[in-house]
Parts: sequence; C-alpha cells; structure tokens
Amino acid sequence: MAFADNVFINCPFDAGYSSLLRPLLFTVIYLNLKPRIALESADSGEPRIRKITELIGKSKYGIHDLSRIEATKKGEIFRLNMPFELGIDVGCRSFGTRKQKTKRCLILEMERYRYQAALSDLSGSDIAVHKNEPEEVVIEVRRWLVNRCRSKAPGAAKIWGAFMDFMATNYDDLTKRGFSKKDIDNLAVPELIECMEEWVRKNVVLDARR
Amino acid sequence: MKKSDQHVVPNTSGGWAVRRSGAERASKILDTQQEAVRYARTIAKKEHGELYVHGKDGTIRQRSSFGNDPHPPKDKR
Repeated sequence: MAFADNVFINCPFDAGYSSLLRPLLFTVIYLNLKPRIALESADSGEPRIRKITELIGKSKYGIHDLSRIEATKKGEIFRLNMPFELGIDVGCRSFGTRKQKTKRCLILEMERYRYQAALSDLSGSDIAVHKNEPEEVVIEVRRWLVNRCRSKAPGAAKIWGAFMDFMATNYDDLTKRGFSKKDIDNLAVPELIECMEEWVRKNVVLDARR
Repeated sequence: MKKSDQHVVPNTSGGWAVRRSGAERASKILDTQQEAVRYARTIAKKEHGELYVHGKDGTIRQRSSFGNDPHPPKDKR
C-alpha cells in the first residue's frame, strides 16, 4: 500500500478496547485505506520500537486513541505507549522528509478537553471524542477521513450498518470453520483485519469508498 | 448474507433498531430488545432469513435461523 493510503493505528490491543477497535478498523478499511498496526509483522526478533517508527514513517495518516492512558484502579500503572507513539508521529511530521511533512493525525479521546490536562501541547490538533461508544468511533473517524482524503465517502449510518453485516457474516463464516463464540470475540487483530478486508472487497463497491 | 436477514441492534438515541441486511436505515425502532426481537423474528420467519441480535459493539449475542441454516443441529439418531 502507498504512503497516502496507510493509516497508523495507535491504541491498546487488549480485550478492554476491542469494542472500539473493531469499528475503528472497519471504518478505515471500508474507506479503502490500509490500517497499519504494530502487531502486523510476525518477526518477533525485530525490536518493537523499530517496527513502530517504520510504520509511522510509511503512513500518511495516524489515529491515536488516548482514552485508555490513565490507570483505572489503585496500583495500576498508567500507560505511556500511546502518547509516546503519538510523539513519534508528530516528530516524524516535523523532522521527516518532504513527503512526511504532509502527515496528519487524529487524536481520539473519551471526553472533550480531558487530554488538555495531561497533554496541553496538543492544543490545536485534530481531536475527536468517542465517549466510549462504538458507533461514535465510526462517526468521528469517518468525519476526519472525509475532511482529509475521502470527500465522497458514504454516510456514517451506512458504514455502521455495513459493520453489523460484516459482524454477522464473519460470525457465520468463523463458526463454520470451527471457532467458538469466545474464539470469535477474541480473534487476533491481524486475522480480524484480514476478514474485514475480504468482506469489504466482496461487498462494497470501490467507487463508493473514495 | 441475504437481504431477508434481520439485525437487532441497540440504538444510540435509545431503544432497539431492527435493520435488514444491506439497508442504510433501520426499518423500525422499538422501546425494548424483546419487542425488537419479536418484530425481527416475524419478518425473518416470513422471509426465511436469519435473525442476529447484536450487542452495542456489534458482536453477535444471539442468532436464529429461519431459512437454510448453514450450521444445522446435528442429527442425534
């Protein structure tokens, strides 16, 4: 995939975030873009940070979800990976090649203005709030991509409906292949992306996604 | 996925939506999940489709088949 089609996704990849990750990935794929995630390479020998910087350098767009950075219970350590990778993305845009200076990123948060308390340097960036609602993720990510590169994208309601159709088809297909409900709910992210890409290729007209 | 398949989905503005596969909008919004499932089941039965009840995140909570079930129960005879 070309630089202009790559979207670096910076978010947690644990079960607690999967309800938001699925619609996020689906919206990106539906709009004929390629999600790039740190988990996509099977080469465990490669240092993670090198893989991440490489992906960031190759992606014109970045979506960074900062809604899960704070500790939620006593004794839990707050998570620095997401703001760290956002910093690399912002740095790549500032210090990178001419092409990389065209990079754009969206920051997702749970509540409006919450990020300002922790990362006030981000004022003026593209920030959207999803309120922890899967449908809001579709609405906000689509809205941002429409403004950046997909001006003729279908409406959010259509993408959300297609996401439901995908989830049903995928459930049937995987059940047929011997997956349990638990296996389906915990499907590995690279495998999930593959399923989404195949479904979109078969069911969505390309012209409707540009 | 057939057009006769029905999806029951929580509606963000309240209630439960019933939507046909491929449709852009809900065919009906009902107050409770039970009412929505009852309504969707009637259509799915009539049109020999499938019924999917989704969670808020799109995951499948319940599935019923009224057509050609791709995963029919095994014959225990």
